[in-house]
Amino acid sequence: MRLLLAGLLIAPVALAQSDREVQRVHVVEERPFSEANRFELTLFGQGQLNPRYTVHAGVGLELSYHLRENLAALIAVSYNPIAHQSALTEELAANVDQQPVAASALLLQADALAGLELMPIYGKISVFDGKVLRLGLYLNAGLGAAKTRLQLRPSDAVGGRSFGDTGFRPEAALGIGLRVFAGDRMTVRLEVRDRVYSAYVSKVNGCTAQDAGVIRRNGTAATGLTPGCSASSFGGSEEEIKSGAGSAAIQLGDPSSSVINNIAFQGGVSWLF
Amino acid sequence: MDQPSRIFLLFAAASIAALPARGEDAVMGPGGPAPTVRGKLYQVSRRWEVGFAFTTALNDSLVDQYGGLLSISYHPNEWMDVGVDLLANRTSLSGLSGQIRSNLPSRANPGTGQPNTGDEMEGADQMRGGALAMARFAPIYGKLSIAAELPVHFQAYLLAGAGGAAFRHESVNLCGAPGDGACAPGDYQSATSLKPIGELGAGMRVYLGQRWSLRAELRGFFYPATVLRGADLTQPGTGTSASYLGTFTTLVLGASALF
Repeated sequence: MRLLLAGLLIAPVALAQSDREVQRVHVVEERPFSEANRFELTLFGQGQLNPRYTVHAGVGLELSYHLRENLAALIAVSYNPIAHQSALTEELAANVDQQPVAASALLLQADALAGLELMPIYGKISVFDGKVLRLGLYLNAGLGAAKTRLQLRPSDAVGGRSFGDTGFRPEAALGIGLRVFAGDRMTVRLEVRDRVYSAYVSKVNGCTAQDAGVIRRNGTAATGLTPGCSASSFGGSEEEIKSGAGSAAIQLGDPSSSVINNIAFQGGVSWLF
Repeated sequence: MDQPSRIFLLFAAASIAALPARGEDAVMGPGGPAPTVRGKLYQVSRRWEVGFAFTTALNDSLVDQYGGLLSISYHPNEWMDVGVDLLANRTSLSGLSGQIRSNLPSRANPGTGQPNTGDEMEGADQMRGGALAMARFAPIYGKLSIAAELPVHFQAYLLAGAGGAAFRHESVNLCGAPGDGACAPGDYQSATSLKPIGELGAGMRVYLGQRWSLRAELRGFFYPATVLRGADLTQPGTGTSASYLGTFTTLVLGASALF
């Protein structure tokens, strides 16, 4: 009886001890700074990761406003000074007289996007156990427009590569990235962004396949072209005009449409203010 | 004999208590004793690592490659490990190669009967297997907090390696049978060879505990490759050999155990 009584008295103490052992404690560490209600201007360098038929490399600029700690609105523009067919595409034409359909090889010259960014995951890193840096893993999404073009002549042609304008296309983008805070004003960003744009190609330099065929045969003397189509848009000399229009006529002759995923790695630095 | 003072006893007790801590610190850092890493839950110094991963080639347009990677390495310290990588791949030409083959230009001029000449397509090498000596350099250790509840510890690293690999080369557009007719599927020029190969990569290890971790890596491989230029399409073995740097990239996903 005394043992039972002693056990009853000790049990709650033991339980309390057990509870104390597993009790969770949330340690709240004050952040050294906050990005909420601040602007962030980022300069990116970017390069395409999936270059089967095309190669893209360029620069981008993004301005975002951090509405909250983990939510930002953004506008972004990018420009690809390097946007041409891949070595495989040119090799296909040179070695086996083949080429991808025009829609698959549509080039992204520039784009503009507006969207939102969510940064749900925070963390810290240390380099060689030295300085501890904050980081955030973010997702972003946006809608905008893409300026596209089509390559007409390969790099080994007389006069080098030439391109035809194929206008603007609607674009959407999804990104996932890492933001490392190097201080309260500067961050380093690494991101993979998938730019998805429609690639229906029916005109090059405002000319249809029929227009391009007429220009290929007659050069600058071509007549009866649709409004907005000009032979001079294919080059400076008669030879360039005819070869460029010939390439456009072939590529437009087989109508094609596609949705292109241009996946790019972006690395940049940003300034918070 | 005087009794030791309380201060002396406290100092002696503190010194004895500090000994194990210094002993643990002594195994840290590349150059001897180093301070305990703040918040570094998982440590790898002086441990062996055995890992297995699945691999897939990412940007080989003409070739499909899927395989396995066995890695065995030793971590002399927290920042580096050295070991060997053994690779085995299941390889084949891609669907794009099949489309190219089905639309190849004729091997001879239909009007004159004269043989056509052409260059071989690059990028059709299939790596069947290889062995590489490898070193990983891991300067970054980090921790992510998912939904403010689940801490995930990770390590980011760079890697490099060199070794040898067995390649099968099957030409996409040069036929191995003489003649001017269409080439049958099994008749394209092919060869096997052993070549030196190098790798560069970057990856991330996510710790599941003291023993197990998950790994994700991107590895770029490079090797000396050759193709034929100016080959007579009707006669195998013609043309001149031209060298170029063959490359391919693989995504590696797998798990490792530390012992």
